Amino acid sequence: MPVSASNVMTRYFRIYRTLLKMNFSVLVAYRTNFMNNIVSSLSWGIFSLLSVYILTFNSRSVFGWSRDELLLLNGLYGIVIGVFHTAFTRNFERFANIIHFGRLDGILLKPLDPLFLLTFWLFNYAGISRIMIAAVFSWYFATRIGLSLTILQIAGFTLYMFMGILLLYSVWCNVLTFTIWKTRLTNLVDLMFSLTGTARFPREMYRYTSEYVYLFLFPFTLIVNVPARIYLGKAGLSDQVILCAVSLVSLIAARKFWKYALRSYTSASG
Amino acid sequence: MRHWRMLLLHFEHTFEYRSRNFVWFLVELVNPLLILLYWYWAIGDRSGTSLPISASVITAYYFWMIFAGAILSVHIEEDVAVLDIQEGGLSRYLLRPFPYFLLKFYEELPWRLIQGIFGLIIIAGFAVIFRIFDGITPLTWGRILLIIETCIAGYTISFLFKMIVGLSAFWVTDYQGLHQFTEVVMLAFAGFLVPLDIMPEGFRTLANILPFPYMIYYPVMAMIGRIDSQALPPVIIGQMVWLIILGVVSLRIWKAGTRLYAGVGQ
Repeated sequence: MPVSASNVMTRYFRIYRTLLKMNFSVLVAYRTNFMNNIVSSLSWGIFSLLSVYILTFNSRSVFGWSRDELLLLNGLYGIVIGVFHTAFTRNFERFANIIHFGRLDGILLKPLDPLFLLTFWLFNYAGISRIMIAAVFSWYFATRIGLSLTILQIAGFTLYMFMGILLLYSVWCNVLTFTIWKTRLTNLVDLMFSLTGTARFPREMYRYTSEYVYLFLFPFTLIVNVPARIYLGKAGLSDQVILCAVSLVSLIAARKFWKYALRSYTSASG
Repeated sequence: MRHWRMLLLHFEHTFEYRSRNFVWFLVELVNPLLILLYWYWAIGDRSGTSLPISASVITAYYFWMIFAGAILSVHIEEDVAVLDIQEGGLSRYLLRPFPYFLLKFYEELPWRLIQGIFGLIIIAGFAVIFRIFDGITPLTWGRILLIIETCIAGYTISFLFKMIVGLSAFWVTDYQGLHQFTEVVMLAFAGFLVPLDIMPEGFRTLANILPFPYMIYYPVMAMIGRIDSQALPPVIIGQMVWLIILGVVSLRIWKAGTRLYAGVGQ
């Protein structure tokens, strides 16, 4: 009997709900680890915000962004990255290790999409604390700038934030798929953490630098900049179209690349 | 001779993982380049950014920070906490006729030196483009000695501090919270983010009473010739004081921790 796309989606949503419950059980069982994770998430969240506060300490405006706008951009970065870290980064760390230790076989044998199992298995509830801190920070600077918070703005920001996260997910997938060939490079995850940090600066900073640098960092310049520009009323229609198009193309490319890479998987550990 | 052979064996091991080593170097490279890029355009933008130090010094600072970050920032804590204490690998070290700290020192040194070489290649490559030697006073024998002293002391302080972070796994099953927290504090106060000169006053005062600037910031300042005769004594005294404090604390933690160690992992 043919299975409709909506049935497949419902099934995966149901499985994801079960995974969320499982992750919550882990949280309850290992409470000290959870507190540790909160300390870790909050440390990085606060550092990210504090670093821009210190960096802009001697500036009134940079790249056409006022200091408050730059700080708001970083607050919004905290929200986007907080969501991404909560839902995905633990999975990508596991992704690299599973391939490195030759444990992908077990996942390939299961009757579910292997990429889903690899990238949705873990959920880091502690990351929610980072999102909350970033939300308060953003709200404070939005008020200072005099931005109102309408339902339409929140909906617009949420939609483009979703597209930004989709793009980030695709980029991480594309890069980590390389570990199928280079199994020892589990530290590509750490490199991705560093590269993702480029998203917290205004896009203009890279545009002035060099075409090659700009092209290389282009996806990262879209992830937070476009939703933030929409919120600040600085985005044009082209920004929105480009973000959606790049996100969808990257996602399709990530899936195709993963399937292609699987042909080279040897089951041997690195 | 035995020590030299042990060090060479670790060099061999590090060369075996050269692509992994290079990726680690790239991880260290991204942040200073990013902040350098920010300053480069923020100062060039002339839109209200005023700094107490010149653009050429800032450029030199971040390029030498790439080198210092690669060679002086020790990353031994994960091995100590996870492989040795949590997975029980410490047992084989305890059976060897060499101190554990010394063996760990030999394990880490080749990684730092090779990443430092990557850093030097980057500096050489960009030296001409960004004229990073323009704002730097010429090298003298005194300055060379100062660079060597601050680097050796900085590396040892970094090593002892990271050993303490790793050894905390004797008491906690998940040391990641402490590890990530110390990483963040180090990024903020060791000078990775901005030179202490352009930090807000409160941050600068706080940084100077912590060990972090003595690991990375002052060696970089020595490299770019920004430590004058007046600033020299507090830097050397600060490094010596932190060496003694961290040395004593790490040895005490090691002794107390090995009494708890059961040899079967956690």
